[in-house]
Amino acid sequence: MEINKEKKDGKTVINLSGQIDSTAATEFESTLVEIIDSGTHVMILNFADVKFVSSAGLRVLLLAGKKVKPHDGKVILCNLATDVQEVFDISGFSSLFIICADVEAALEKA
Amino acid sequence: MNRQKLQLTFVNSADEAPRVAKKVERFLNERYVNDSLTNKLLLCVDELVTNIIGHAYNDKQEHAVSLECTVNEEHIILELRDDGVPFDPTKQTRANTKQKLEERSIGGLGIHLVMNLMDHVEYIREGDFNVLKATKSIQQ
Repeated sequence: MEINKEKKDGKTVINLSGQIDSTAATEFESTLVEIIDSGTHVMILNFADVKFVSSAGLRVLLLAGKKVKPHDGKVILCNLATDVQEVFDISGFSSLFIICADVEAALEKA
Repeated sequence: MNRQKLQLTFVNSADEAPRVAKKVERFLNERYVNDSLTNKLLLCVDELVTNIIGHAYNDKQEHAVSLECTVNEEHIILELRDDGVPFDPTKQTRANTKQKLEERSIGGLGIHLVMNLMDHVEYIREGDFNVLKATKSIQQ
């Protein structure tokens, strides 16, 4: 997978691409933890180019959600492909995160 | 080797997961399996392979695990075979998907995904082997 971070309207947008599987999860986790530990507690994760998210990737999202919670933070997800959305629905993660149609909608919630 | 069947063997080490995933992906691409199905299957391969690598063995020895992927006109079938501790994933307590963020843990989620994404999952203990067969219909 590839991860790159940008600022949009002063908000942190993290663009993800590829497969978020057990192999990718290590880098995904260290990147998110670094961002959160440096004081960013509101972030938008853009899934536009993500092919699938396995439970290893979901575990990282759960960790990020738990880490920002005490800081009134938010992890906002957007641009989920149908198959990725299905995995979020099956796992019950759709109700754990704010999910928006696109980056613009996510920026309004951030 | 039958062109519609991929057979590979890997050892119980986490470094093997990406190699297995790449081989399955290439095999499915060469058989023109659509992207949506390919992604579901790769997700399930990741769950099943990492489960075996992480949980099947407690003797710290190297073990050979085999994976077979078959594509026929109607189905794609994954079959995994390991000589680890007896483990029937179809009988495990499923992840509680109704809990709130603070209470959620990730245990059991991988199997929960496989059971939901594949159409049919069956387990048998064959001698010293766990044999898991997961089938996905090509017609959606």
